[in-house]
This record gives sequence, structure tokens and C-alpha cells, in this order.
Amino acid sequence: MPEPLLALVGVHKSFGGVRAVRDLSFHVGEGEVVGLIGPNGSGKSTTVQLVAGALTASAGDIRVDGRSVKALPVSARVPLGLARTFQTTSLFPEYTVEEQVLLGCHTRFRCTAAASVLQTRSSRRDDAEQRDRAFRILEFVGLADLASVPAAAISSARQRLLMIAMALASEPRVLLLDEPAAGMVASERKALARVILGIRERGVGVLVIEHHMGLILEICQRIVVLNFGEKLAEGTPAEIRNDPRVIDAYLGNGRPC
Amino acid sequence: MSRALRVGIGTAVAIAALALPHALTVPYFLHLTILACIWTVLAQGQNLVQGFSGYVSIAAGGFMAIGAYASALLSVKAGWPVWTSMALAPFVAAAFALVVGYPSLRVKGHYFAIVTLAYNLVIVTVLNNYESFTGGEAGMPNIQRPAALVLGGLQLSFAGREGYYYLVLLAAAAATAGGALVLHSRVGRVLIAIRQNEMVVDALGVAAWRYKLFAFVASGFLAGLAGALYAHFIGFLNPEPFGTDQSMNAILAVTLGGSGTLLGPIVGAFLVVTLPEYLRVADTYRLVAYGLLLVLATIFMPRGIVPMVSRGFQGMATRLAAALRPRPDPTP
Repeated sequence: MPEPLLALVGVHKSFGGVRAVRDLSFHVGEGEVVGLIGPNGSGKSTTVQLVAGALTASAGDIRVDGRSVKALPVSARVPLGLARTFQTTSLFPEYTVEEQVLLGCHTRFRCTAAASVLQTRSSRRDDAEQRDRAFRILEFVGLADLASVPAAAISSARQRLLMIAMALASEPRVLLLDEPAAGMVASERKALARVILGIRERGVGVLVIEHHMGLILEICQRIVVLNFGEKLAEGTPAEIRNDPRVIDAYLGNGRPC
Repeated sequence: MSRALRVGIGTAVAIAALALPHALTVPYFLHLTILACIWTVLAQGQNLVQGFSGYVSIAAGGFMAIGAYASALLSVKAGWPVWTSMALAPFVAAAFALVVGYPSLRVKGHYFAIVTLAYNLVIVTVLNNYESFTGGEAGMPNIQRPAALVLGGLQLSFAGREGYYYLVLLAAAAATAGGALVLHSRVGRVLIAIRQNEMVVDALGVAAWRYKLFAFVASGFLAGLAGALYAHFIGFLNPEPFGTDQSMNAILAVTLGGSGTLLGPIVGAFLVVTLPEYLRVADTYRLVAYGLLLVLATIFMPRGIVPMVSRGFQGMATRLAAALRPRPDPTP
């Protein structure tokens, strides 16, 4: 069996005495959209931070394309094919939409930073190629006509699409989307779903953390449910929707207290 | 601004700068201009760290001291040619910046500022107390000017103020050009992104610490160059001018002129050198007036002089263009 793009194997994370994530294992395959859901405090955000590298797992292993990334810092995981977006909108407010994506292209430049400072001919060509790529990515997420607008001046739903564009610029094999639909209205969520499905078609594995169940059920092939830091259930959207343990975790057990 | 206009203004400034020694009749003004050029080198370095990456370092004075003492010691005590010691001094300062920058760039914001402040204090303390080596507070006299150069039959002497002025002008222009190259490259883009949101920079796969370290080492290099130029100009060194006051002056030059711009550090450097002199009219209240001016400038021009002036020009140009346009078409 080929290695999945992203694999978590028995991952633990404790903060002092609090065990935020316990023995968590799941994987994301090529061209697969996996949803990670759970009630507040169930360990979703900790899991994202562990995968992205902002936190280090206390035990267990995290592999990208068969390579353990557990000990690598955030920036070293990106060239291996792991990119992420943030739960809160995180951009460079002074930069234009295009410049943000250009910064996301960082790991794809062929010339060295020194060549860029000295403005060698090959580095200028490199720069032009990356600008082309950035523009194509903006076309893909539907922001091409706003390329020269400052990022602080576009709507919050567009800013969230821009974060995805920035992450895509590093040509990831696995993409972590941390609550991509936060603050979006129905029509904007539809556009987002189209973008995520488009990313899947490119063969990228996507891990989506989201509260909006409609979106999760629409775009995911598989859903992992967390509760109190542990995996409660895993399955197709239909299985998850009818799983009594999941309903129990979200809505209570139906018995009077 | 159109390209032709930029080139025109640039040429005019260059000619004015080259002709300046002949226009200034008071030698003291030329003396101040030389200091301002040296401070421009220092401020361009400070701008790389403070203006681009947003990390405020309070060590510019300390690295300037390292450059000044390195060059003075190599030429006076080791007997090396002045040109060689002046050329090596920036590298000595850069090496120090590399060693102290690596651990201190792990802390952020105010903590980084405090760590660099500590370096500055340590450097000055060592210079004051290692008397057998540096001469301590009494200082080190008889630091020579660099030897005359013969270029294509033309004798260039640096013994006088005029010759030295061209040397520091060249250094200031080179430091500004270096800043321009960094600003317009991928490196500048990353540094300015670090100022805006370092967490996202890391998440995009950029090892932010390398870029911060580069900016810090480059600023140490330029501070060292400024120190060497200062030492051989004044001819006498003691630790007094390299205290935290000097680091504050570098920070001020960048903030006043326009943080993160290329012209800002130049404007700022001239201001911090000349303003205290012009304020001599205020007599005993000179430093009080200086302080007051700085407070007012920070309140009313938080982004600095250069961005404010250039915004003013742009606004004027837009209004002028609107006034010259025939009549606006009523139908959209």
C-alpha cells in the first residue's frame, strides 16, 4: 500500500497535566478531502498546530509523504509539501493581493536570495515566472481582478480565499484549511466549496477543520470526529451523520440530566 | 513620479552633493556634512533592521564602536595601512553582529530591543575598562587619515576636510544603493513581510530567522563602516560617543526620516546631526527644544518626513491633474 500523503500515527500532546490530544491516528490520501470536526475544546486546533509544526507532539509521529516531519520547524515543513491557512485571517495588510501570493511562492524560487539582491538576469526571469504563477493561482480562486488591490481593502470572505491562494503558491501536496468558511455567507461558502473541490482535482490532499456541517458534509469523502482529544469516530459523511456517538457528543445523550 | 523626473532630480542632487565643498564657506558646515554622511551609513544599516523587518535594535552605537576601535587599533597599534584597517573594520563589526544576533533574534519585540541594549552597554563598559588595549576613558589619540590615492595621474588626498567629504559621500551613496538593492529584491519583500506578520512568513515556508539575521549582520557591517569612517575623521577615540545615546540617534534618524524608506535615513541622519547645532539659538534650552521637537515630530508625523512629503506631492499632483483636465464628463 502506498504511503498516504499525510499520516498521524498515535499522536499525543499534553500541556502540563492537560492531555489535549490522545493517541490520534488518521491519514489523508492523494486527492482526498478529509474533515476534522468536534465540539469546542475537542483538540481540533491543537491537531492543526501539531501538523503544521507550531506545536511539537509529545509522542507519536506525523508523516508527510512517508517522511517524518515531527521534529521539523514550521518553515521546514512547507518545502516538503505541507501548507496551511489560519483560523483568524492572517495576511500582510500593507501588501497587495498579488504580493501576498508572491510571498507564498517563496519556496518555489529557483534562484538564491543573493541572486535576487544582485538582480541577475536569471533571477529577474525567475521573478517574472513566479509572478505569472501567482496570477494563475489568483485566477483559480477568483481574485485575479483584485491583484493590485491592498489585501486590507478586500472583503473578509475574499481575504479567506486569498489565504488559500497563498498556501497554494508553495505547491503543497497536503493543505490544512483551518475553518476556511468562518464568517462566510451561503453564496461565499458555495464559491469556497468549488475552490476546495478544484484543489482536490489537482491531486492535493486536503484536511478541513470546520464548524459548518453543511460544507463538511458536501466536500469531504471522510470525516474524523474528535471529542476530549480522542478520535470518537471516522467514516463517510453518511456514516458520521447517523453515528449515535457523534450525535451524543454534539447534542447530549437525550436523557434528562 | 515619472522616470525622467526621478533621473532629473537624482542628477541635480548628485551635482549639488559633488559641488557642496565649494559652496560651503564655513569649514564647520562641511565638518557637520561629513558627520551627517557618516550617520547616513549608520542609519541605512539601522533601517535594514528597524525599518524593514520591524525589529528595533539599540546596538547601533555599540557596533559603530567596534568598527571604530577595530580600525583604529589595527592601524595605530598593529601598524597596518589605514585603508586595510578601514576595509576590515566593517567585517569585524559584522562578525560580532552574527555572534550576538543568532541568540538574540530568538526573542521578539521589546525583548529583542532590551537584549541589544544590553550588548551596547557591555561593549561600552569593556572599552572603558580594558585600558591597556583601548586607552579607556582617556582615549586613543593620533588616528591617521587614510593615505592619498593616485588614480590615473590624479592625486586624491584625504587629509583635508574636502577630500574626506568625498570619501564619506561615496560611503553614504553605497550604503543607500545597498539598501535599495535589498528593498527591491525577494529579501526585502520577506523582511517587510516579517514586519507585518512573522507567523505567516514562517507558515509560507520562509525561515524568517535567516532573513532577520541577515538584516542584523548587514546593519552591523554598516555601523562598523560608519565607526571606521568616524575614527579616522576625528582622529581621536574614546568610548563616550558610542553609548546608547548614539543608538537612540540611529533609531531617531530612521523614525524621523521615514522608517522603511530609502531616503528617510538620509534625511534623518542630517537632522540628528544638524538639528542640535541649529538649536544653539535656544542657548541653555537647546536640548529641551530638541526633545520637544522630537516629541512633536513623532506625534504629528508618525511615519516620518519622507512618506509625509511624498504623500503631499502625490496629492498635489492629483489635484493639479484634476484641475488641468478639460471638464469631467457628466455621464459615467
